[in-house]
Amino acid sequence: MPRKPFEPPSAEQTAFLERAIEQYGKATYNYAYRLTRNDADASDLTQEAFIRVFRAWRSFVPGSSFLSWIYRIVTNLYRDELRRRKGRYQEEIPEDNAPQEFGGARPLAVQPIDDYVEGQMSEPVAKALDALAPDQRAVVVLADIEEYSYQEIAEIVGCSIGTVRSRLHRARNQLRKLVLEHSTAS
Amino acid sequence: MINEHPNITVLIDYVHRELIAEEDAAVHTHLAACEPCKGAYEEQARITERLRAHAYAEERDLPYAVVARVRERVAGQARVAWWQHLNLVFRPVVGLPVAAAFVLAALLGYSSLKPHAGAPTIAAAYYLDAHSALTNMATPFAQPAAVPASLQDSGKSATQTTAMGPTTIASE
Repeated sequence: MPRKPFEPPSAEQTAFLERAIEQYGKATYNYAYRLTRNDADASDLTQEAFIRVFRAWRSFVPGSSFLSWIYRIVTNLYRDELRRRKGRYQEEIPEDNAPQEFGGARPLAVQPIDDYVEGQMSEPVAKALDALAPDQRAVVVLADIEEYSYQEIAEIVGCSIGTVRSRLHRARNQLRKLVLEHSTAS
Repeated sequence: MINEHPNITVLIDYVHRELIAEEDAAVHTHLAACEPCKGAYEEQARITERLRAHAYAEERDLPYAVVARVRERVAGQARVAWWQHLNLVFRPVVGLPVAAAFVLAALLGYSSLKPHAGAPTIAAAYYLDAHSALTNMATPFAQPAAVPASLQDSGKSATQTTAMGPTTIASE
């Protein structure tokens, strides 16, 4: 049972948190960054995710994958944040207009200087990732970068394997087009 | 070897090693023999390679500020405000028995101080009068003892011993 917020933490709980940060802090932050595409939001997501881990540390099952658990937390937090900012979170985006509906899935925090530098220096892949819908980007990151199986992705994202497969295929199709476009443009 | 060309869905699953062993082997064999399919597969594999290369290139260290903020919030949680202590003490599992004990003690204290409304109260004077009257009566427990002759005519009060103990009676 999760500890109530006002209860003083035990030494065991604090040690659990410290170990989690030490071992998985970097991976969690990078996953958050790949979802949000900017440092400020990645920092906020990572911070909030570890606080959730701290509060719910008893619900972690020893022997299971901690990384999958915290990735699920990060994904849910990211989805909540998108809902909060956009009013609603769009689960499925038609592949032909995904970037337009999501405003090109721009980073959540506005960083004009970073945008300028990124525009000058980033690879077409980065642009293509930015342009993906958030749910598609999450699946691509988990499948292609983190190398999770469809089953694991379904558990992290909270959907069926069929949905994972269709999102991934749509995202890759989108990526292929976008990478080609950006490569041609640059 | 499969005769049909695998579609893009199968190729993407193949790239992600999501096909069952038999399908995986069949696609592998087909790709070795079919140049167009091999080209399509390589394109998909290249996307994955570029994604991984990009992720590796932009990999970041966890900013210390994030760790510091997490620790700060955890430490803030450890500092319990006075009203939170009250919450801790008066949470239902503790508060209810304590409250019940207080109510019980208050009820007992009140009832011990308050005169019993239902019980008869006897004024001391009335009790003495009644007792005296009883002792003058001839009852099995209060038979008048024989009064010594020397005292019978003295006109003074005499003490007679009854079953209830020595009693001073006034002579008439």
